Amino acid sequence: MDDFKKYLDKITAEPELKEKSKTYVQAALASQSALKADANTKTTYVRGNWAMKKIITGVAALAACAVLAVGGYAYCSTPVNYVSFDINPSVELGINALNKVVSVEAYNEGGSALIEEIDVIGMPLGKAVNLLVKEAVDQGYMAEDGSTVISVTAESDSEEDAADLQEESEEGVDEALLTKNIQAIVYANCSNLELRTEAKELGISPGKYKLIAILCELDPSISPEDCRDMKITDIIVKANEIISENDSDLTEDDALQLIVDAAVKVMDAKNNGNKEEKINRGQNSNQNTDEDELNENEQESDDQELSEEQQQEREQEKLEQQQEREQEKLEQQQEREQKKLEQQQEHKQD
Amino acid sequence: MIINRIINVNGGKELNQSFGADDAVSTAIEKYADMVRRICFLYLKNSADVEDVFQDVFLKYFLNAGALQSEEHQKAWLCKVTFNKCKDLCKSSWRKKTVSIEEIDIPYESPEQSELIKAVLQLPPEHKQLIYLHYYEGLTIPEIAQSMNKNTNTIYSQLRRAKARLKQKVGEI
Repeated sequence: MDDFKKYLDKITAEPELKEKSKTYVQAALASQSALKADANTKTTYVRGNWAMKKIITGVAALAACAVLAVGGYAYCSTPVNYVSFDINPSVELGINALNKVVSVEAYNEGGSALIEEIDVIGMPLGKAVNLLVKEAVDQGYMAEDGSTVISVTAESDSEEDAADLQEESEEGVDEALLTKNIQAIVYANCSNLELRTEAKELGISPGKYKLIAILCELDPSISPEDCRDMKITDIIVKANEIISENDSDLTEDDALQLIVDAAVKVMDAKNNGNKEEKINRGQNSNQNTDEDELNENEQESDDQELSEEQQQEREQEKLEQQQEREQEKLEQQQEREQKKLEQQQEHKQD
Repeated sequence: MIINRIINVNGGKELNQSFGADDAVSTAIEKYADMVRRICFLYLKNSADVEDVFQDVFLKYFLNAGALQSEEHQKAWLCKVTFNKCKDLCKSSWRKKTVSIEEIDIPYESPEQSELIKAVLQLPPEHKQLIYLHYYEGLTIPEIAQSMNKNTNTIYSQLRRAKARLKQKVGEI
């Protein structure tokens, strides 16, 4: 260890260092004494300072906790994105950063009726939309021929978020329709939050407002006020009429294309529905309302009176129709999926 | 509390006395600068840090000068404060990442010496302190234990461990 000692012996403080320290210490002492002269309160300097530090640390810790708690609460309870859901009952869901519903607002009577029945706050978006659709079906807002348009508009400033929200709510709607075994056309789209402020001024849900805005643009003679109480389905049909009348290049616009597609589906559904109704009532849905049950009973009693051949023919017809409907369903689903894929690809390309 | 008050009242007097003449500051710094510098050498590789330690340690020293009764007491106190300050600086993760390394240029006498010094510098902070106090300042283990407020046996075993580490790297010491 001698080497160690020898080496350390050689280490000395540089003169510059000493000078600097001297000047610093002298200056600091001078200012310290000035402070002391001011107030002779430094008698408990060591202990007092230490206790004070502890108190300050404690207070700071508490404050930090409070800030975190308040911040966390605010983070979870502030809607950052919105999804507006319209059939004609119009409801808007506020979504927080964790994709949960934190606020619900109804834009018309139908909407209030919906949200009175079910409480969707705290639920994930998909589930909330799902329940809303089911409730709308139960309250009879959906045409049984499947011509009703459900508009789901995701409102967010971030395109990615909007696409996610749109997808999630679409899934929710699809699932609900499947459970209730009812057909409907889902018109999903997204918009930015600016639209929301404009819509709020008019007291219309943003999803509807977007459609109305498109309609007004197509036909300047229509004012937004006129359309306030229209059903989404009707707006879409009307827009489609105007588009087909003009028959211009408008259809190249994506938003309009969506409307046209939806309108075509509405027409198809209405036509099919009429036909089906004529041919056999009571088979439209497995979800039997009382009326349907009555109809079926009537049919059954009719059936008994018919001859066997006729019965067989009927059954065959029924089978064929069922098959047709299933095929249609499949095709529709495939179309929807394809569209989704295309949209996703477009988003990615963007 | 009472003790502190006494200390500080004394400190105040001493302060007032020492302050009239800046000589007191100069003398004390001249006297202890080398020791502080050596301890800094063990821990710090950066002249800015060394400067920091010097300023802090000596300012503290003059603020508490009254409480330090004898020369030995002063020395032991300065030693301890410097060690603590150096360790604090080493702990700060900011410094760990940003500090630049400036080697002190004092030539080694032999390869063995160079190896030994490098090995000591690589020891953990606690061990460096023991090695310095024991081998350089020549304090006995009970003295070290007393100054560090620790059990003598603890110091024994820590020193043994420090030596074992050194041996591992250097061989015989």
